[in-house]
Amino acid sequence: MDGKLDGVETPQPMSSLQSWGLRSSAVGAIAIGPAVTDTKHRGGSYSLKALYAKAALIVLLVVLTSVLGGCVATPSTPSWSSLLVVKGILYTGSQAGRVYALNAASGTEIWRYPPSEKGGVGALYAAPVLLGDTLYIGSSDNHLYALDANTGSQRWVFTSSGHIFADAVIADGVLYFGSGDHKVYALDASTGLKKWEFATADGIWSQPCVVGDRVYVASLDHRLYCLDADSGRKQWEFKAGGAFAGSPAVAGDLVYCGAFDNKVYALDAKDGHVHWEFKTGHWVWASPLVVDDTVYVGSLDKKLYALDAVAGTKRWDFQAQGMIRATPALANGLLYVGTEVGSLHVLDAVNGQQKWVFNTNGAVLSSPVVAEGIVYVTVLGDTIYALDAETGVQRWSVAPSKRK
Amino acid sequence: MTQFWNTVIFQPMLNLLLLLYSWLAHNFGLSIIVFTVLVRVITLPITWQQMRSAKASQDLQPKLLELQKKYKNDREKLAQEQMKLYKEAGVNPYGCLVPMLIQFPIWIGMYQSIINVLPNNPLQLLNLARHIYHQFSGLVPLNASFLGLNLGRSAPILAILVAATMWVQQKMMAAPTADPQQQAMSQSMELMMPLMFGWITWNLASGLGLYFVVSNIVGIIQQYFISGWGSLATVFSRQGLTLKSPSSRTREPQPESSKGDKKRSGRPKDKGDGRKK
Repeated sequence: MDGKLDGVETPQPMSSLQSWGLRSSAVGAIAIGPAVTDTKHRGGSYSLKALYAKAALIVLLVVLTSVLGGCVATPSTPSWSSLLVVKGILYTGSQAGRVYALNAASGTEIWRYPPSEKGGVGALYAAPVLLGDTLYIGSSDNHLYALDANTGSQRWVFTSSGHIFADAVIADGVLYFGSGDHKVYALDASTGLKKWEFATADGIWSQPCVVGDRVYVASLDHRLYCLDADSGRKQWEFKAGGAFAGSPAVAGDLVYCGAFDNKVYALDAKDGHVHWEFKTGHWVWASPLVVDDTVYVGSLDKKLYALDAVAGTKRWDFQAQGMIRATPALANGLLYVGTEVGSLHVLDAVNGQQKWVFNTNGAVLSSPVVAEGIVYVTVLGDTIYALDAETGVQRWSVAPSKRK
Repeated sequence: MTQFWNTVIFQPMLNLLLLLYSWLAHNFGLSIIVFTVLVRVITLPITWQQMRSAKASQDLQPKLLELQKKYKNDREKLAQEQMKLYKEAGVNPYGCLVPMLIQFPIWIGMYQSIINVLPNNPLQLLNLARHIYHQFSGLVPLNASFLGLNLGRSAPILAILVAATMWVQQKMMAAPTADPQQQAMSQSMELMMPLMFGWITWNLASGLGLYFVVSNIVGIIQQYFISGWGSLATVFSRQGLTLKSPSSRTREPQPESSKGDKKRSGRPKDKGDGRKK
């Protein structure tokens, strides 16, 4: 046997793992190789052992890859979808990169883009926007799509160099949107031709706000920019202590915006000077909703705050079940607030008292929409709920992306 | 269990990374390097014990072979004698397993921290919000640029470096074997693991690749002081090159030139493995 033993089973030196030739390596992986210099041979038993060893190694590699994959995996659902309801039609995107038009009364599908025989575009976070009979929606595949709102056929596509996560906004026939390529674009809404672009120092994940001849853009570079709507020239900028991922809102002479330094800012719309600031317990990602003299803003600290729009003082707050990422909706004196644990809280806008709560089957990370006495909510996983806006009774729910 | 994991392992590591980022001029690449070295230094006693235990066990192989020959018909006696040998040599036969199990959660935590701290989309950013300590809120998003690389995106060069450094380390760790089948399996695995990690790095944020590379380099240095160049010396000697090192500590069959070098360099005193000649 040339120095090899046969017929003797021996206790394995070191660990059983090492008997299979496993040793820890620097990266935390397992180094594989023979740990011992002897090998037992006995006719066919070696072949069997070798087979077992190889099988064990393959299993180990699969497990290891799975562990690593699990560690680095992003959440399985790559986007949250947003809603638009206009004239009885509900438009929404899906995480699989498809745009749907549904009958708002029943949830039945009218059209989808791309059609079923084609794959979807990139995951869709943004809410569609409508101008005339054209629907616009940005995608994480870097494209902004203009579709026929009646049929879902494509009219034109504009390509940026980064993911488009945020809603676009239209004013005076110009489409404004931000991109992950750090730029805000102004396009001719009818042709898709670029009018101007403005570069910031980081991605733009929020919807621009257009008021008069000014465009307000919040960027992840910690700055809020005021641009000239015609030329894109910068008028002023304001730097916060954290990133801006939520959209600014303008009311009167003030610009309101939340930041990742946990604060809500009210800035002078003319020059960007701080009028007041209000500190919450976590990032403020949601866009403030300004109604009359009250600012409603949610925070990832799980609270919805009602602030005096002029003084920035707190009127009341409401402790929700989970983090509030999206802007609440307001209709008939009721606030509709979604949370990342799937609850939809309905509050009295005056005092913050909860009227009712509805629990969905997924995180509510985009803004609810109220139309024709129905509140529409979409959750992570693309299920859409239609509830009676007054009572919370469910009218229907659909998951259009799960239909064929 | 998830809550326990996040609170005890993942969140402290993630926020340590952010703390380093805030201290190191908002240079994320530098933060990963310091973070990796720091964790490797903290776990050094465990790693060291593991490496020495492996080395000591390997060094016992000739004596184990003798015992196997001697007691080939008496399993019980063989087991007794082997345990006695381990005891005399001060080697714990399970000495490698426990340290490895202790280190595994740390490695996983490091992977998670590096991946989660560079969100590429809003959902990932929201996930980061769940784990970040409030004092670091303002640091997000991190500046991912480092030496011309975007550490949030994949970088082929780092994938190649990961594969290369891992291969070197595997070679240094590999023990020699006279059995051709086992040798073939060993060689294929020594190639497969670097390729697998290279492929993983190729497909992931290069920040993780940077961690792999730094971690491998630290591991190579540690391994060098435990067992020298190991089988790597053989690879180089086949090419007519000689690696000068404390390679005499390995039991690698060496060509004549290498043996000469060993004699000149002398065998370093090995206190830790408890071998009794």
